[in-house]
Amino acid sequence: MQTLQDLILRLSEFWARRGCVLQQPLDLEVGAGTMHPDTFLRVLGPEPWRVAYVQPSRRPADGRYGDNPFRLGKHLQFQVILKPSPADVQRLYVQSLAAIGLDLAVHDLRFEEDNWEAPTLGAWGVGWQVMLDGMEITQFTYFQQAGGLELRPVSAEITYGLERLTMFLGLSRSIYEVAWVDGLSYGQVRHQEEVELSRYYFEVADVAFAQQQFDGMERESVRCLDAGLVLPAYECALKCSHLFNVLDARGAVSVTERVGLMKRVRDLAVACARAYVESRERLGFPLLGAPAAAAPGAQAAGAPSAAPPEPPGSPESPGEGAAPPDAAAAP
Amino acid sequence: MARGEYLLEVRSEEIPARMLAAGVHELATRVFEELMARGLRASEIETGFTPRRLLVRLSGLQEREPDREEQVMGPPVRAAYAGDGSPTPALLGFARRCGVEPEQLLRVATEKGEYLAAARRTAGRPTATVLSELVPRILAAISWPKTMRWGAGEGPWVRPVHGLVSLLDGEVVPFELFGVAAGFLALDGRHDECRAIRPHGKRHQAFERLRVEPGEVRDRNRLRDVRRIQVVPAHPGAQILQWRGRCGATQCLRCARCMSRLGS
Repeated sequence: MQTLQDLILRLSEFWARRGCVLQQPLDLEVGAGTMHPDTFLRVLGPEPWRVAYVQPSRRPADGRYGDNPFRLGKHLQFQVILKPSPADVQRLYVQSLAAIGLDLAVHDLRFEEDNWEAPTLGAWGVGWQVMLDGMEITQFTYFQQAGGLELRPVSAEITYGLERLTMFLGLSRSIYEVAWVDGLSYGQVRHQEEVELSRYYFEVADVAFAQQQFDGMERESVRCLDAGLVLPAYECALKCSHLFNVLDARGAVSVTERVGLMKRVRDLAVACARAYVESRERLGFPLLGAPAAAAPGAQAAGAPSAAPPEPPGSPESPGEGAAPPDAAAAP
Repeated sequence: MARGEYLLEVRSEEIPARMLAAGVHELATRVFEELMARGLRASEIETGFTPRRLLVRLSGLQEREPDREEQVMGPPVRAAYAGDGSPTPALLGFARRCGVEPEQLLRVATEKGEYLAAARRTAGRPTATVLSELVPRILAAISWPKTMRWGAGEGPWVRPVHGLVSLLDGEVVPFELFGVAAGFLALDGRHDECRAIRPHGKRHQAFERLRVEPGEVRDRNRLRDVRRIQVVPAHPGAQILQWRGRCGATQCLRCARCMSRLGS
């Protein structure tokens, strides 16, 4: 049986072989891998970038005291960013599923329209939720805007839901039954944490203190920006975002306050995005022409396909040597 | 093979299901109408789609546009002749510019008086030339409810485009869209094996493939997404043409009621 950590190892290896920097999780509470600066900030500006990492993602309001077999207050995302999005990005994704042991000849894989939007980040993208036999296992997005800025080049974001994928592969009926490693279940590793975090976020968290922290972190973010420190400013903005989620889970945010608080977080994210692009520009966009992300060979490494596909037919090459029509139709 | 058959196939990443029927309908309708406006009339249209393919086939197209004749207006008659009736430099210059002899010029009555005019005959262009100019423009302008950009900033279109097949009687009608050159083959950028198709040859081959190609349409759900619409010649009451769906229902090409049924 495939364990959660097998899955992480195989995905890491797969994407590392395709030129991705294997990054580590951000050491702050975030709601999604997208908020990691290696996604949110790196997708801005012209520099190429390829990265993969696991990001523990906290959504306080999703906590269920460890009782719900499908929902967690903190789950694991495996995040991949490919910038610019390569033409064969869907094929790479399908290959990654084969690499973790999925036989797509017997499973139904579908790309259903699902456009992603993160109002607190001033970000949106177009893409799909990828359904495996009807269960969502991946969010696949082409980023169009982040921090209120139009993105050129466009990045492809692939976010695997690790718990769900492992559940699917192991035919588990509960997240907590998933094997983290042979002999140790996900529940044994994380159940107490889910119970306690749920209690904390729903019952115990000090609302007044969280509000003070939100105000303080907001001021600190602006102060950092004034001092020309983009990344610390962005970290403060992320803390604000998490504190907003805590207040929300605690039921301390009214409908009217909600809009105002979200706008305050978005304003910080937008300011950080602009400051980041300026800071990279001052450095001369140092990753432009960097070998790792630019090498086309990185894509092909380890790919089992024998011959590269022919370019779309041109008048000079009417498809000689390509698969004859009947071969294309053969099962 | 039937003469005057144009086959267009677009291979892209998964287009949202809610947009497919209307998108391929708009594509086929606009190509048909713009050809009509240039005197090229298809006798039959067929469309089809899967989440990653749009197909349009037009048949019965003429080889070239009809020749056009138009009048080029010149100087007023009163400025064209001197007092002694001899041609003025204005007349001679106009005739030279139009490439005709002075005596071939016509007289045209207008609200502002009588003018000289020259008849100019423009030879119709080959249908392939017309298509290679029309099709990329129409494809790029399909009014998708939501569009995106990809890669270095290609687009906007509903999803990234990977392959284009554009064939008139088996010959490539070349054009380029979003960095993809149209040709004999269409790749879909997804699978390991090179699943190129060569739709020229038998007439309905490309459409038959909608149902038989492995991987593309594998389960029953996707098979339901495939729709095949045929066009039959105009009948009284229909606007221009009528579509006949596989279900047997008929639909007018430009009728609001039928359009909404098509999208349902």
